[in-house]
Amino acid sequence: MPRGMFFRPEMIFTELVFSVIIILLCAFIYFKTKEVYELTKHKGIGYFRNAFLFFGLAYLFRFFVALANLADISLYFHRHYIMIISLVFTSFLSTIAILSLVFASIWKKIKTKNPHYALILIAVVTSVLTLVFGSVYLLTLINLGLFLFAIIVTYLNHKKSKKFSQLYIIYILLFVFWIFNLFNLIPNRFISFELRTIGYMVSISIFWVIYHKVSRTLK
Amino acid sequence: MSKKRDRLEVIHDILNIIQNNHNSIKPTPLLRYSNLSSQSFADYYKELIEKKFIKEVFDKKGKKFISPSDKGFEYLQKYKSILGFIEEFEL
Repeated sequence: MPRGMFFRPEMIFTELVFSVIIILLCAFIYFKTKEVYELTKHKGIGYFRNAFLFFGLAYLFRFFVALANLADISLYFHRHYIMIISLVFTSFLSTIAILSLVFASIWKKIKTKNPHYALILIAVVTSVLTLVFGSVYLLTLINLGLFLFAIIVTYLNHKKSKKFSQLYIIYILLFVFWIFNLFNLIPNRFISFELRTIGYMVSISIFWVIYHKVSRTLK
Repeated sequence: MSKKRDRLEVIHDILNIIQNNHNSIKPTPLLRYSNLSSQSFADYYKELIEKKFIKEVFDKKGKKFISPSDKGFEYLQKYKSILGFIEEFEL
């Protein structure tokens, strides 16, 4: 009996709804900060809004990876290539997103004149590695490395500050759930549908909190 | 010792000085009230003109006055929320 277009339609639906909500929240954050950036040309604001632009795009390509995972396209060849291309884009975009968020908080201490070249170079290296090995495992590991780097750098930057940074916790959760969402893409994974759905809901809540903070301060 | 003003604060102060002088002031008193060195003032002045935050107006005798543009007024209006945003996200 021929199979349908997708192995598990309920998973596709969940992925679609999740991705659309995250992408919309990222777009709202990006456009909400447009005016304040155009007025000030503040570098920190520039990196901050770029981080959410690239997070939104990374989630879009992550959705394509999930789609290729779950779709039952009879020609394996196409599915494989869609998967690899989407993985490479996810790698590039997520690297830029994570590093932009780090740069947003440490930009005053960066001495290099054009730090965005370093950012693009690192993103290209991670993309090439993802292309060569074509593995979600590797992409998850690369992002885990970037996440640890981000945590250490922002911690060193804020350790002199005596006040407890709520934002630091939000960023940690944002990165943790990004890695959790990448981990979900690994074929034959052992995370249950229910646990995955809870993870998606927490991810949406994190982006919602950030969006709420942005719209509250820039009303 | 007072803390060194950052870029956004200096821009705010310059625009505020102009606004407090009935939205029109000559360059020399603006330099004096802004508490900047001549070189710094020249840099900020150039930036504000280029970004269209201020405009130069000439009277009948050909004397130059500086006035805030719509963008300058907008900046003054939104300054508090801009600072709030930068502080909230530790940018």
